[in-house]
Amino acid sequence: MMASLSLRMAVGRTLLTVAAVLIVVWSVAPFLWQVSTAFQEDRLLTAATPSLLPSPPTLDHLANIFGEKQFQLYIVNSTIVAGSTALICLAIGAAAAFALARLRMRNRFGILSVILSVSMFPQIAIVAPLYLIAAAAGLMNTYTVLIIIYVALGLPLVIWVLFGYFQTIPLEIDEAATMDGAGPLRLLVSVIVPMSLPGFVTTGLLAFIMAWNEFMFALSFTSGIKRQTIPVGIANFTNLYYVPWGDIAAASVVVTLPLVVLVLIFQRYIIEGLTQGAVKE
Amino acid sequence: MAAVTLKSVSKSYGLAKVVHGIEFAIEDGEFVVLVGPSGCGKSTLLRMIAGLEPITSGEVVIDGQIVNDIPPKYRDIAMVFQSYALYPHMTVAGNMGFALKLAGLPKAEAATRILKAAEILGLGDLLDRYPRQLSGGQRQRVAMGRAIVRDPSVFLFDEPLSNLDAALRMQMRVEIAELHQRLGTTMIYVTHDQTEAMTLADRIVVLNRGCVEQVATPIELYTRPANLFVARFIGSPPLNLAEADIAAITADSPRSTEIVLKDGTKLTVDCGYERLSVGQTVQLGIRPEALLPADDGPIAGRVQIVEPLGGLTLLHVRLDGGDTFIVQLTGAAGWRLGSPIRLKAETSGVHLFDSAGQRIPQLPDDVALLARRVGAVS
Repeated sequence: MMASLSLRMAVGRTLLTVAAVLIVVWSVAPFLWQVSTAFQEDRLLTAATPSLLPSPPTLDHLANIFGEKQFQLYIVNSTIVAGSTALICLAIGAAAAFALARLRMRNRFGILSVILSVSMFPQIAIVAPLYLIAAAAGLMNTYTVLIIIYVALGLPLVIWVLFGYFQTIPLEIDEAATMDGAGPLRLLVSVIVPMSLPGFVTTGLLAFIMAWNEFMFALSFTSGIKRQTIPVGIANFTNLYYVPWGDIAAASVVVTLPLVVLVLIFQRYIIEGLTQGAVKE
Repeated sequence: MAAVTLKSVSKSYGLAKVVHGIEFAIEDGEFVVLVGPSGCGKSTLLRMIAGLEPITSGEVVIDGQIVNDIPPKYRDIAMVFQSYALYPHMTVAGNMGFALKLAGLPKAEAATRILKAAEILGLGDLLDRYPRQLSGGQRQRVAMGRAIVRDPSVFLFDEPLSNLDAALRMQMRVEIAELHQRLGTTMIYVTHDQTEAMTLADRIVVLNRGCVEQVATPIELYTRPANLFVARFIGSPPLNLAEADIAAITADSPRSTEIVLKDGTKLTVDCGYERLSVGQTVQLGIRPEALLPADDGPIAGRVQIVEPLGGLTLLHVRLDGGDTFIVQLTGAAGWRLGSPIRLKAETSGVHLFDSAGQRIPQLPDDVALLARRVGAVS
């Protein structure tokens, strides 16, 4: 009886481990392939038998993208656009989520639904009208137009996540601050925001990644290396006669690294942020 | 310091009325406890005094000023919350000084006040700690410190001890009593724990379903409960109750009233009552400590449960008529389960209530007589 139980537990644990390894391989393999491609010579990329380990490894593609293709300019553009988007989203989103979660407000869930519905528009449907508006306002090929659009796209997510986060803070904290003489703005800035830092890190990162990866609006509203962001830049690598897989892979690895580093730095906060309120503390 | 007066204060949530025209006055420097079962409206009332809950109708007057529309921060009151509601990202000093910072107090003066409050509460060594590094009792003290530093005219406490364990609760209860003696500030305290209410209060307001049942000193509540609700709510173990009829009334001195329980047991008390007539059905209430074993006692029964508490012993006695009475005896008398017992009742612990549950008062000169007797005993 005991033997069969421990055998079953061992089998179960093995199956679980195998499944976990498979999932990790499934998720990481494309990225590893990308890294491998970034360091392979062009002739090996089209060889009959591809190899995971580059031999001989080469830094040609990295030199290419930063030298010939001035990839650093795209990175600067993306950093400005995504960074501003994240900061503005957090500032506006925090105020909105605070009002919805903590102040006496009628029909808060109606308002939240309307906010959510904004993110449900198919993006392709709003490109043309936004293009006309941006052209009329003289905002074509500026950071501003991208930031405005990304903030609008990112806000529903930011507001909903922060709303959920703020709701986990006991209401008595607000009341204590009110008794201490804090008005709504002071309450938000001095009490709610510091208490919600993990939530801010999580949502800020989500907004940043959304803006960092966005392609369609960036392609439609910018032209030229001075304003184009990374996804558009990588797409521009391809010309009529040739797809430079090595350069594309190298660029992809370079732009993924900041995200990986950010996530690793804030890992503790992110996990705390995503699980906050799941259990009673 | 300030007096607080409530005039016909009501609160409704939509159609549901939860507080019904409450009216009482709290004197300057008084310690008043609002007590009642869950959902009786005591916390709502406190929050209306604090300004955290809008008042539907009526007036709250603090220090002579109607404060209905005045925001909490201008009411000169401080509140201690059940969950402490400390700011987790601020140190003890930060928590205590937050209100002072918002009030624009110079840093030096704020620091002096924080140090003084910390000294009163024994928090001197903990000023740089964060709430998560403190024990429950220490957090509770910080919450009180946050109120003290503001030097308010009124302190409000919303069940401040209910998150603490029994031993700590007792200790903090004493500390709050000492704090009141030391500061002399008006304090309004909400609790559902009658021991807290009895030990801390100058006066107690007993609330039930959004109405005031009685406002009185602790002893008065215990010895002259206005109605059945108060009689049952105040006192532990609770009042023994049984339905009874009035068999005879002797109006001449010495006065006496003969009460017959449903099982035919006759009980005679040596006092008279206002508006009582022979044949009237009443609720008889006897305090557990007013029941004494006596060989010639009129109440007969058997010991069902013995609860030795050390200094006291509680006997659950099943009467021959079927009712169960709890008897509280001093000492650890050797009662056994099932042994027969006869009891007599001290008149001072006997209360009569009419069919509407209202107290039937004793005649005034008997009240004075009983009070003298109780005084002599104690």
